[in-house]
Amino acid sequence: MNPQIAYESVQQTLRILIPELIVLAAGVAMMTASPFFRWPRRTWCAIGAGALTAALLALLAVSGLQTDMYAAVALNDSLGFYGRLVVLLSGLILLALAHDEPADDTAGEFFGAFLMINAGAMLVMTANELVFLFVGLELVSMPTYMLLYLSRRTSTTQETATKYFYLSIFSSGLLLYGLAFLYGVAGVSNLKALATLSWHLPSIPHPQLGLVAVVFVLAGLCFRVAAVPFHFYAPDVYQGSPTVLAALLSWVPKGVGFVAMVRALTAVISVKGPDDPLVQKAVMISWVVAAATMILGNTLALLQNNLKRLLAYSAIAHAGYLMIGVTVAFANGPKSGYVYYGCESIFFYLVAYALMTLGAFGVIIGLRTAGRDVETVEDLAGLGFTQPLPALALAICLLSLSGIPPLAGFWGKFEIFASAFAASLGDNSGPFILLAVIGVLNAAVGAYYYLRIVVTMYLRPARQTVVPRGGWPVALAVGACASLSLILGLFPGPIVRASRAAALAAVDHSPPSRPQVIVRSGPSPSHSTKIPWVQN
Amino acid sequence: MSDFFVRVSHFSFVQNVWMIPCLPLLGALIAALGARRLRSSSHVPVVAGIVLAFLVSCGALFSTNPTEAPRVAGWLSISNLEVPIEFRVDGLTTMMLSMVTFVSSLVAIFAVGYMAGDPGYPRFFALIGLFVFSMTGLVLSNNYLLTYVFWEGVGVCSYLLIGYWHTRPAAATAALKAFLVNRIGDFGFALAIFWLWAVVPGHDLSYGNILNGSTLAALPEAAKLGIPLLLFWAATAKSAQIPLYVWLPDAMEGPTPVSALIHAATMVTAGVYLIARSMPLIALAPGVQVLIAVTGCATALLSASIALTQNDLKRVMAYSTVSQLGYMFMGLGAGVSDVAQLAVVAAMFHLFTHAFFKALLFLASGSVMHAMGDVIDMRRFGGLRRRLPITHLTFAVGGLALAGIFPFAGFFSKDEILLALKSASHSAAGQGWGWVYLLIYWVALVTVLMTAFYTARAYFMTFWGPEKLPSPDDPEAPRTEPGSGHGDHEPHGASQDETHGHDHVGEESPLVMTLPLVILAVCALLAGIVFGPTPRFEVLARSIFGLTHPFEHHLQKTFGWELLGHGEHGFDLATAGISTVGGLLGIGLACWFYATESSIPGWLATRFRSLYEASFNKFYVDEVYDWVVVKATWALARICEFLDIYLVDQLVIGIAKLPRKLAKDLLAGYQNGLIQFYAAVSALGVAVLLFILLLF
Repeated sequence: MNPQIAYESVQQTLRILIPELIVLAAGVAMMTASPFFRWPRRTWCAIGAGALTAALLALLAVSGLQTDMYAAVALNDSLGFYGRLVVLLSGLILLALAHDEPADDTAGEFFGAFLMINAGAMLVMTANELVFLFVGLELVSMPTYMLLYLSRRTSTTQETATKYFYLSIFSSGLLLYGLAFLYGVAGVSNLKALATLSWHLPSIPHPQLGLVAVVFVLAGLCFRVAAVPFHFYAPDVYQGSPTVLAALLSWVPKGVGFVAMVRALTAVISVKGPDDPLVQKAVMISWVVAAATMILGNTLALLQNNLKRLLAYSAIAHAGYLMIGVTVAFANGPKSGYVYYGCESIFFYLVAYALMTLGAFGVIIGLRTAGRDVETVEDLAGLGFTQPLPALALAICLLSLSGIPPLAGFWGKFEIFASAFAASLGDNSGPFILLAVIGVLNAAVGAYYYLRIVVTMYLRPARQTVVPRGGWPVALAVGACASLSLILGLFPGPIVRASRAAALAAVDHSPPSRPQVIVRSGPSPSHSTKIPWVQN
Repeated sequence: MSDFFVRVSHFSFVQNVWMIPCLPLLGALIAALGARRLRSSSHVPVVAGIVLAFLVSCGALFSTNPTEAPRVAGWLSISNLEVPIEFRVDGLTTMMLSMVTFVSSLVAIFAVGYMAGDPGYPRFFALIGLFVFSMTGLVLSNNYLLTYVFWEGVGVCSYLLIGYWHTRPAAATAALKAFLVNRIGDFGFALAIFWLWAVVPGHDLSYGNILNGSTLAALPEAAKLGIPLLLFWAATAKSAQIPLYVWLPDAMEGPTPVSALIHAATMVTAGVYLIARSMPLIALAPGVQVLIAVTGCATALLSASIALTQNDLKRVMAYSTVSQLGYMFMGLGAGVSDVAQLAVVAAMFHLFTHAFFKALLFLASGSVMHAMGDVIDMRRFGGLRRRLPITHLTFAVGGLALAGIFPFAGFFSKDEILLALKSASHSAAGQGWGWVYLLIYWVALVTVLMTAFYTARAYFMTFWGPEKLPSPDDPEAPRTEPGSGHGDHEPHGASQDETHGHDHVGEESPLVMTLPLVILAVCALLAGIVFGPTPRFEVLARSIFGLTHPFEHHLQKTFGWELLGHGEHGFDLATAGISTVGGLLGIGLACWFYATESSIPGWLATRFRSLYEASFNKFYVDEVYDWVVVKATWALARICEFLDIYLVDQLVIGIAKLPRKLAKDLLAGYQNGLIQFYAAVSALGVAVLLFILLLF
């Protein structure tokens, strides 16, 4: 590469990464300063919120900048922009939920680590390079270990942190192994270049290598999204850790994991088209994972009485629905027509999922009963009458999780199932329809345990007094989640458009007209003009 | 600031047509949310909203453009599913819009006086606003799906307003009946939409896509017959035709302004509108057109003969509405080959004039009812012409218009329908249907006589003869014990929850009620001459509008109009003559029988006892339906209940237990909390996956 272009490329990349750099710098500064300043946790939380807001402004400021897709490690395409926007906004919600969580003496480290997780998540959204992607994923994982360890020094928490630590390390090993093979397929680590190369090559030189790569990368990422058979940690860890960390674990690694799957796997593999054996096998793996995850998550959730454990299995079940989208994304290559359906449904679902799951966790965080946290379903009995507003918010989030119209979760499931119904491998659409049917049946099973909570809240008499806690930040965050779940259900248009733009950006690997850095007007869905195979 | 003026000067009524439904909706919301604060002035936002909507409609009327379909909002666009909210502002729509908002404004103003003091005052006006929203949305929609949404919307408003006095059992029953019967029709509409969705290109249900030559030509043969049939099925329920007309007479349990607005002028014409709108599609199936004409004819005749003997003033008007709707369907059914344009013009013109004179008659009946302390049984009052001079005169105008006497509005529109029928009997002769249309033509002429008779009967019984005010001692006065509320002749008063109007029995209604009457009377007098086919008044019409039959001219700006057959059909003096003679004969007979005390009606009733009883009891249609449909449905429901409990439930419960069993016995065991086990299973999972994939 021409040194001049390389230099420009680095410059551009750094420029689009300013939001991450702000968050990361604030996180590092907070961690460094923490031992020297005895500030209350409120101050540290405010600094964190300030850093996230600054990053948000910076993100809006750099929204028009682009980098060269074959040279840069990070992209500010629609996926990068909207993904980071969602991470920052959900980061603010999580911060509001967590503002009262840590003790004063560890608050600096706690919020510092929290900021680093956000920075890592944002890096993954932009990643266009295998190593960079891995760095982003680890930047999410490692501070998470610390958060789990920092929060409370009880034996359950220690056990939880240890469990998560070892299993996470294990999965990172698998992922790294897989990424190495992915590099070996074509000898490049730039993802867009990898996609373009496999698009142009008649066939991948060593399909077995490709298969090993797919299996291992998928395995590593399946741990993060809590898909079968890497889901075991989720119920134990959610239950054993503070509720706000369970909320964080149920959203951030999942969002990051699915975007990483799209960036590193589906966008790269699917270009080979439905006739390629590698694509067929990738579809097969993700089909099995999707079906198994949905069935396991939903059926085991039926047995749960502990709210956090129930939401853990619910998180597993939702990973299963999202895996349907991944399966479709593998099959929907540029040669098969509806190129963006799978990715679009994944992105839409992730946004809806973030709102409804954070809202549900938020209500649990914001309530207290008899001097302890709300833990079981029975603790919520009669909540509809004693605490009408939190109960309403929880009801909206749960109904959205079970996919009842007109809430955001309904459109998420609608998009996922619709994309599966539209998908096919060649002429064979049977497996996808079967998968969608399994998904619909699972949604029916899922409705049972969500509605059970709603019924408990509204139709059972109150047992003990439940009091709100957490103050206005928690109330604001929960209110935002619940009302947005409703508003996006009524007007899904904007998120659909953003998801479509992001999906088009994700599958776009056609060379730009000039190799130089190009500056576009904004993250608009204008990419469609560049992709000759997009059919509407 | 200058930008503002530029915008105002470029204000496009067509682009801003969304305001027409939204203004009444806004008024309704204000009335509903501010009910506590507004109380007795709850009508202000709703009346203002409807009147403003009327003004915008007038603007839209003069900027009609058949090809423009402003897209209000794209509600949804997911994968290949697109659901836009699109309106179309063509001749048919703007005509309906102006009529609906005009009549609604007058009725809403009338209701200010009529409903004063009612405890549910804000609820009433909120519902009226909601109704106008749905009705204008229905006629504005550019898409069968959106039409269906508003179709349901007006149905719900109608249900809520019929059951407005929901504590009264008769009202609650009537509301339920209206709702259920309309569901039957909605089912047909839904099927039509599903079928259309399946056969039209691009699954696009917009009128622009369906009602164009290429789409219509490419429809499968079965759909060419089936879809018009299903649409007509939908129309029979909403527009009260045989066999689904039974809900409309009972719907008179609602407040009288509601009867005037929804059950006479606007909502019940939605079916006529739907058929007229879909005329290019309907015209593909001449058999269905014959069916429409025959159904309309039978309905007109049947309900006119029922109206002859009813004693409840509103009920006479209700059967008259059913009968006149039958005329409109006769007109639409006559739209074979080159008569199509004339048929649509005739039916829509009758719809237009009927809206004025029937709303007038209902409001005048309401005014009578208001003055009589909510008594509506014509045997209990009489000779009111001196006490209620304005009501009397306006009722007379409306009655003459309904009877089709020259130069009132009904004369022109009814004649045009008769002309269309006559032309159809010539045009359809080639297909062998000519004699059917000729028969219908003659039946329609006989019905003209009956119409004139029952209208005049109601008029003379109410306003002539010796003066008589209702008293509780009347032999016809209702027994006051509760539970007898099912009787059809139960007058609309005498129940304690209706508190208004009792303090000024026997006095003329206030200005707020008489003014709408007068305006509607003027319309009922002039609408025919001014807008209609006026060969004798060509000079007058030309001087005002510069053309004859401005109504037809306006309808020509309807989307898909050029697809309809067109021919030359001149004014038929013979038809006009016969119908006028028939009308005068009917009025004369009624005058002879009822203007003074006379023994003839009683003698006739005993002489033709069985006929009289049959008509008086509405030919026992309700009873037959009760036996054939309701009882049978109950029996079926019992069987289903049995199957449900002992077969389906057991099966479902068994299946529902399956996931839980699976979870408990099979999956839960693996969640054992041991990290070594978790890691081992995960590693094993990868290994197995890899092994299988590499091997096969």
